[in-house]
Amino acid sequence: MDLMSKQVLEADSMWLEYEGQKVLQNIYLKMETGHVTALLGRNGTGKSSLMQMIFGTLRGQHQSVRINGNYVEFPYRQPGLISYLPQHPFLPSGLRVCDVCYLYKVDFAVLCRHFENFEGYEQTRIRDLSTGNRRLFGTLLVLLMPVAFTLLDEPFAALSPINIEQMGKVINEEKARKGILISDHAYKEVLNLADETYLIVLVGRSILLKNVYAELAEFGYI
Amino acid sequence: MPRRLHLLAIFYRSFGFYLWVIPIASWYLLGRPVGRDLAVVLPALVLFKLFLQSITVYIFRKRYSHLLFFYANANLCRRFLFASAFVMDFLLFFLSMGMIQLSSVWI
Repeated sequence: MDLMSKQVLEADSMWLEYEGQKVLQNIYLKMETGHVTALLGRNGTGKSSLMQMIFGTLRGQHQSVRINGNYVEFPYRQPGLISYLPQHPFLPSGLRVCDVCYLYKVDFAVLCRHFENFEGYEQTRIRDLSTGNRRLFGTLLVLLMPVAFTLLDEPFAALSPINIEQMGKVINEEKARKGILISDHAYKEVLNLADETYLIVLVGRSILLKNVYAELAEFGYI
Repeated sequence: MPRRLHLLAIFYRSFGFYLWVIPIASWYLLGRPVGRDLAVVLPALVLFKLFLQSITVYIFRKRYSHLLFFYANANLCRRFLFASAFVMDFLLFFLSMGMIQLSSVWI
């Protein structure tokens, strides 16, 4: 990736309150193409909410998402900019695998190149896939979409160890084309992939970690 | 554009049948009024459809909001989805009434 095509996403002043309770306060997070950024934090610290705010589907009390310094109000509405893997199943169950690939501009052959066990599933409906395969397929789709930034919320959940390892390879390959933000409690796998690591602490602030394992221990994450 | 239309059709299909069949069945039970008779019941039918559409939005937001990420990843926002689906729903409703009436005249 040359410097000309490098893109930077900055999420700044992200502020979210639920019923008067502060969840996120003045968060700053930076992603860039060619990098994998890890987002860690204990349960309930607002990682998923932060991802949805960056994506643009959740509005907080205040938020600012900038792409190369330009403010974007709803990033998800910009074609080719951002994709998001939510924690919960999000694919309509009645659709066929090939239809979803077409709608997301993902080449099914490329998907099968990464995970050969999907060969033969092209005409299968989403509801007929096993829970693990459904999750795996959803994660791959979002990851392989032709966008500049991808947000992955718990991409390793429901995956077997071998699939986690293979998914790590796909993430490493895809980061050459895009910026990837990963949040998952399988922190060792996440840290193996990450170029930068942010930790959200209980008061709702983000910290860019330098000495990752020591600081994770210091802030009580591990 | 075809991709966008395809997505809208998928979204409408996820609840459209009930929105279509209930008002059409109501119109049928009212004796399939046309012309001036239809003008009398039409406001009530439209209000009934709007009521059903409101319930649809409520249920979708409460129980199926996670499915909206599928459309958001394809750059479609919630407001656009519902607005398009409900316009489509009204068109289908009037088209169906016309077709049923025409077919009964021909048969």
